[in-house]
Amino acid sequence: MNNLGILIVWPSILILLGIFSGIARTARVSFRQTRITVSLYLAVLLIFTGAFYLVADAKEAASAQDIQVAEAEAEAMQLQFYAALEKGRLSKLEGIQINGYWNFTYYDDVLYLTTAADQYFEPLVAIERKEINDGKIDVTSYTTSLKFKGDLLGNSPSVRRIDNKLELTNAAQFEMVAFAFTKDWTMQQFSDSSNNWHWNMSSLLGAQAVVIQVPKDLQVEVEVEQGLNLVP
Amino acid sequence: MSFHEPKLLAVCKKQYAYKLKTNLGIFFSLMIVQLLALLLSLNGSASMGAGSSSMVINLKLISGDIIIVFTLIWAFIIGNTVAGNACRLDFSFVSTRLTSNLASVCLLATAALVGGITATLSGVLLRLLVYWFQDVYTNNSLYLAPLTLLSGSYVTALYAFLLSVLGYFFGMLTQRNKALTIVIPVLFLGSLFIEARRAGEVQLLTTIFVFFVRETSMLLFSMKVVCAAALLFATVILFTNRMEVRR
Repeated sequence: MNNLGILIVWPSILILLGIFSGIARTARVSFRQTRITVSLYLAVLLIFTGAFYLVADAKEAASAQDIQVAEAEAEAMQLQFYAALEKGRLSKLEGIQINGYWNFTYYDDVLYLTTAADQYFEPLVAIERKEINDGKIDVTSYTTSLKFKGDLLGNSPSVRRIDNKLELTNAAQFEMVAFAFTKDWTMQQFSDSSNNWHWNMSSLLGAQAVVIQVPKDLQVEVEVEQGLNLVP
Repeated sequence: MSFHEPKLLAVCKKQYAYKLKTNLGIFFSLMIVQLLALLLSLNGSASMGAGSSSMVINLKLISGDIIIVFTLIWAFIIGNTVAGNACRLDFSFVSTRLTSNLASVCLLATAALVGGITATLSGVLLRLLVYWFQDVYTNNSLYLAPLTLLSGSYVTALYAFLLSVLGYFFGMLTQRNKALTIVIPVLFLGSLFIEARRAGEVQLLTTIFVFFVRETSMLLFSMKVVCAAALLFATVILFTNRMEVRR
């Protein structure tokens, strides 16, 4: 524990001591009332412990995977995502989700890619050429879904055309709260698997990419060199 | 003068039953403290996060740690309270300081056992509530083996017992000299500040803390707790033996 921790935690504990001391001294109830209340409390705890084992046993039987396997799957999905993106087969990847689609009519010879002012556009950007000159630009945003929240998808980026520029803007930040269980420290002290803080959070964020399909002969220029990550 | 000399064990037993009745309120306060800790734990006892420009994941970790810490604080307080009550109420019938202290330590052991078991079971209740009412990232760590639960209860009870005896020790000290009510917290806080400033040097409080918390053998841990409690208790017996009947 660092010094600041000691200076904050211990005085807080002393304040709690004072509060609990007050509770302990003022909790004057009759013998009978206390006995009934405490017995009820114990009974409730025991009933819930029974319910817990019914639920947890079922979960344990249904899912033999452990947390590392789930994460390995997430990481494998990320790798598959990038491989498919490089081969131009992202739309065929199993489990891939589309969280945004835009199309624009465009007949100029050159298209400039740009990002919103001074912004680094985070999803990878891939440019695919169509086999015909149909005068249309199709933009699709692909993402992997967050498996632990069902098929929940992150927000999509926004894409808009300004004259001969295609402006890409990052999605509005999406904040998600999830819960996970760890053992109590009194259980961890004598357990071999004492440290279960090993989760690789970044693998949970998944992968996101924007694929821009352009007419066969359209020349595409990147206006902001450092502003986006173009897949070769 | 009576020719009937009551046996030590019989007097202790009587006094234990009497103390349990008079201090039954401690179990009521235990319940309040644990329910309060349970409420505070519903939002997670720790958290970790990761994010990109478009997404932030905040993973809250659920465990009974807060409940256990609150229970340990409660244990310290009841040790102190029992010491105070011991000096006021003990001599309603024939007894000695030794029987009074023995009965008190039995009461503290009972309270620690109840505290240890209920703290761990409250942690189970917490898991169940979160599982039912929150978005859970993974269910894989939801399950607790019965043996793990049992060892958790046992260890929590030992910690609670140690802290309650410590509370009893300080309670008895302050009964002997009221000035210690102020001196002990001041010394404790002062040494905390001094230790905080002397990072890297030998630190007494941290060493004591590590002595128990870093122990990985349950047998050794149990022995450490029992020996430390016995040492504190023996000290209490020594300096209270000649105390007046009622102060």
